[in-house]
Amino acid sequence: MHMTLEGKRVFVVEDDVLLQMTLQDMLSDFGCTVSGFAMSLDQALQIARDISVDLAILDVNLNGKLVTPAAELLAQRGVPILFSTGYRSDIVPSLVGRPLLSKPYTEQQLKAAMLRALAA
Amino acid sequence: MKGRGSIRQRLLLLVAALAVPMNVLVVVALVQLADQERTTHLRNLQYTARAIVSAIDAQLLTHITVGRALAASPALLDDDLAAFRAEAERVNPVLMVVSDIDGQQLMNTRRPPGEKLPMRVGLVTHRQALETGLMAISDVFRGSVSNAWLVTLDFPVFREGKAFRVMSVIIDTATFRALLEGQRQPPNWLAGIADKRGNFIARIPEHDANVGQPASADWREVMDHNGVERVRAIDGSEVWNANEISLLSGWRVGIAVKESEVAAPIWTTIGGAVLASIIVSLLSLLLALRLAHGIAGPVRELERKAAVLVAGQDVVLEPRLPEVARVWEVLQSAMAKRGVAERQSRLLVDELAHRVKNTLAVVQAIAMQSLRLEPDPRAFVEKFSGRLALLSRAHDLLTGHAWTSAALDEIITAALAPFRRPTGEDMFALAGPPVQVSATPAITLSLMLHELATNAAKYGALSGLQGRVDVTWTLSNTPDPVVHLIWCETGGPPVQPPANKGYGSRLLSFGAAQLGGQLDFKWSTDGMVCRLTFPCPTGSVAQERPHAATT
Repeated sequence: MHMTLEGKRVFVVEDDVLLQMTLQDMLSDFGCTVSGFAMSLDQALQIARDISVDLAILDVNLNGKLVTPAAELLAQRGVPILFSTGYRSDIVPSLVGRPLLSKPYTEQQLKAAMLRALAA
Repeated sequence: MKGRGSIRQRLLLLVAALAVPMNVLVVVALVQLADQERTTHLRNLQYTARAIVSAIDAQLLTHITVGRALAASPALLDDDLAAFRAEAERVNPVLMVVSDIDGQQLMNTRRPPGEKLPMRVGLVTHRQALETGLMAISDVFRGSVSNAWLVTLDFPVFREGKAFRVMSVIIDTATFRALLEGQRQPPNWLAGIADKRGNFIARIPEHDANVGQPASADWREVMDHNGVERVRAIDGSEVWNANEISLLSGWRVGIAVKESEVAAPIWTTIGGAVLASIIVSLLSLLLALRLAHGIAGPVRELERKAAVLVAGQDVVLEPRLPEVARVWEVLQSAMAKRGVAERQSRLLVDELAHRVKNTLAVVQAIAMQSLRLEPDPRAFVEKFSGRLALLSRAHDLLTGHAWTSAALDEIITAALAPFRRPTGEDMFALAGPPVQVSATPAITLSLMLHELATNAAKYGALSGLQGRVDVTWTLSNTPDPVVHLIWCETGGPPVQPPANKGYGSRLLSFGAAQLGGQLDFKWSTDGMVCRLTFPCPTGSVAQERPHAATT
């Protein structure tokens, strides 16, 4: 099944300024809309409560805190999630078997991972 | 096996160390006992010889008493041999002979009266008796009438002071053989009675073959004194011989036993004791082996299970020795500590891997952002390298504090370093209390300050020679720690807000978002003023320092 990212609304959670900027640039290139972004767990929890999006891209480690509470909130609301992390996937047990994007990544890898997460 | 012998071997050595001296002691005691037994045995031999001498003497004394009485008989002095014969036969059943001084027999109680009698055989004691006037006891000889082996007691008979007759009591040696046989005898003994010449009067065993024959040369050599000697018997066998001399007759009594007879009971005793000693030693060795197993077993179990434990596997040990229990406890606690250390180091490695990957992602982002702004490779490299250097300095600061936080003044100094003029003239003035900023915000601040300085160098105060920048900050606790930072440019050209939002503006606004703070700008003819307010939960850490400024 062919899917496109064109017009998808995305929620970006990433605590690093440059990575946040770059990720948003890439998403713009894909034709996605960044409907909201957060750079700390507090911000993420606040926004996750009522944001309406097609996909959430979540950095696992937010300044030393796990993104898990925000991920649970989004999952309850049926939002597909793509995790991005520098950790090996087996370090965080709750991530095993979930769509995962390993840092650093290229545009192609990001696109493929987003399509996988949307299809899941 | 390392060292010099396992526990089992050493325990066996211990048993040997105890058992060997004990056994040696037992053997020494046994040998002494055996020696004593032999001495007792030989002394008993001497007593037996003495007892036999007493028995012979008693028998001879009986004959002497009777003989003396008869020798003084009036019938003999009256030469009335018929009357004397009757008298003698009434008193003494043994053979009596009366002969004249030349040795011609006149009467013999074994012969009918009137029969023609032969001369006496061997006249030594006959003459001795007549010469000394005393009774004389003969050596053994073969009788001329009976052809038997005999001894004689010769009594001299004097009439009116002149030698007249010799009266003899003749004793068959069988009497003495019976005497020897009547003794309570040790088994396999040799007993002999020898006359003064050393010829056998009686001997058992084999009396008949030996009577009248010389005793063994060895015995004859030592028969002149009492005592026990080791001699060779007539059959050539080695014997212990107890020699006793009869003072009455001058005869010798020899009681002998074979060497083996003396030694046999001793060797039996020693053999039994040695056997018992070996059995006891073996039993104690078996017991020691059991005990050794009780020590070596648990130690070996510890050795085996310690290897399993050290290999990192779960293993249960029920210690059977308190020492083993203690060693096991120490091992377990050491392994637990090692486990904790290993987990910590694994966490550290995982964290490091995460940071490296994150940093690579940041480097990638820097490259991508730089490339968007500067498609020209030379300009790109310059931009890219500058930002990498900035990142590197920020990392240095964080590494100095175990990647937890960095001091705000140091963050600012590091971020602005590349913008200082080579002359050393300082166009930056920093002022503010000590504030600690945690890791992620520290990186963000570095990027933002770098961007502000880049902008100032391009368009603002740092574009000319007179301009300067004051960076001041305060820390308020109302109620949570909040930092108010002011970037104030002066002495530069008049500035205006930028026409469109470029990379710098985006970075600053994302930075403010990351800090969870607020950012606002004022552009005037004096220069640009930027205010940044952001929460800083770790900021108050600095106030615990001794020379911390108050807010």
